[in-house]
Amino acid sequence: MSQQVLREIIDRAVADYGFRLAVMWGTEDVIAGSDLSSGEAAVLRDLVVPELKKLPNPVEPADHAAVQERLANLAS
Amino acid sequence: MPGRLEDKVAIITGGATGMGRAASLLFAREGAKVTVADRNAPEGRSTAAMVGETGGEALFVETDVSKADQVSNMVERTLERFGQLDVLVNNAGILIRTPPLAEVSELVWDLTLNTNIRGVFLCTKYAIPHMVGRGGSIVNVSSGAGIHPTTHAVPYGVSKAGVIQITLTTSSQYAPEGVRCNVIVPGPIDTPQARGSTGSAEEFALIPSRVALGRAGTPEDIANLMLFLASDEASFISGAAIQIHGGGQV
Repeated sequence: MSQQVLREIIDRAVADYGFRLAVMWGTEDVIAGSDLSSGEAAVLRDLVVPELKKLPNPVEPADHAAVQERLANLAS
Repeated sequence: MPGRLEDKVAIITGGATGMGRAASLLFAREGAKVTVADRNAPEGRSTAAMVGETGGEALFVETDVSKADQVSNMVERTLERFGQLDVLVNNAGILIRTPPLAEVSELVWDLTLNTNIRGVFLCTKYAIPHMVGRGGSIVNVSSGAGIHPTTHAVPYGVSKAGVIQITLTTSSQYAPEGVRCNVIVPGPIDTPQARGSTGSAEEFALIPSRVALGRAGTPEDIANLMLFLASDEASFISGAAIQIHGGGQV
């Protein structure tokens, strides 16, 4: 279940810059408001967020799927 | 010639990028000492450094405006460094795109309102005691989304309507004690947040064709209005909501 939540967070953070800002600079708030295991929280905090900070603004819609897949693979 | 904010001290939240960065640079150029507050520490430090490079004085304080302890620290650090507080610009904000209201997640609702309205509340709450009696100016930042129905960002629109209300309340309660409070209501402004939230570069490029004056606003357009409202030139203005939108949509 929470693996799906983590994927939704990743997908949304790639597609929506505002949500990405919330994840990048308010990571603990996002974790607190989500149904993530401690392991998934660590993945978000330590692996996903640093990659989010490298993304262009915005990620163009044509690139969403590939970027989302790449970041989701960090969690698997 | 003295600057328009000579001898004044300002806190600018969301000062790392966009309108907050433009205001930080402009305020410093007009003589203010500036605290740049933001949770984005790398860009916030860059703004403070840019102020320093142009001969101004700025302090960066890493601040999440939704956290009372961090807001209290922001005010205290400002007072320790500069000795007074004259201007607060409540500029920090976040826009998360959402589906229709019934499908909005509680997470996104909370993230948005915590920054956009709780943040304005906390910053005002902790700053205003240091302005009462000696005078001060608070400049809040709302949005056109706060006065028009918002189809693509429900919590954002609600929060920005709240910013207008807290402005009116702050003004009515504290203008008699020398603290003015006004709110800027921007239309489309070319900021990183706006570019990111529009969805694509192609979509953003369409904005000029939808604005009467034929362009998106710049962060400097907004900073100029912030400067005016912060300065003594606006000494008889409080409780005002001022739209700045290039003539509105066509």
